[in-house]
Amino acid sequence: MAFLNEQDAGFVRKRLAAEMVHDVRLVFFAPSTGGLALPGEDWEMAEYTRQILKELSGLSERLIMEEHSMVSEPGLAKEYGVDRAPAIAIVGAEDHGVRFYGMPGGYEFVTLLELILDVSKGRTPLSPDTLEALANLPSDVHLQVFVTPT
Amino acid sequence: MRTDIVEANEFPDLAQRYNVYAVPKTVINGTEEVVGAVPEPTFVQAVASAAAPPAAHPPDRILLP
Repeated sequence: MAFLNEQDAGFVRKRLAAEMVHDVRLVFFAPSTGGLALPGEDWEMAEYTRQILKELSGLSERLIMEEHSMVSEPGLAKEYGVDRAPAIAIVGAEDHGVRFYGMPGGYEFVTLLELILDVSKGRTPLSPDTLEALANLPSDVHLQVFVTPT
Repeated sequence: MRTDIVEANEFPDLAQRYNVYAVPKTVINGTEEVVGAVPEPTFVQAVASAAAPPAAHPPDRILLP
């Protein structure tokens, strides 16, 4: 089943082609591998997430999807700072620490697309004042942005 | 800086821990919160405040014997 209709896929393909600078890896962590779900984990959401990423990465040669498992690759998950799944690490020329937890469906698909484009460019549309303030922060910052797909 | 986008419905434990009733809600270093879309300087202020070392609280009043 396709998540994007032809028109939307065309729109996304165009934006990726026009705006991407560096390759971006979508490093996907599933809760477990295969059809075996651990108690309490929502396998369906993870599977939808996997399918969305697969479809999305088919729209640009610059988008590379990697599939991993939290359960069989705990070391790699730790390396990416990923502690729950489904998770997507969005990594460009550098790892800017951008992670998406959950299924990027509905409005959140656009969020994912914008994250990919920002990471690919390696910059954000923030003002010079903001960049200066962030550069002068005395300690590391962890942002958790809560969203819903509706 | 680490940025996590968290789908609130799929991670109710996190949503509950940070009292997420409206989205978008941004939690900074687990302490500061920004609800909704705010002007960029307002957001930067919240980030700066979360990153600042905790201020030494002066005593509210000095108790005289």
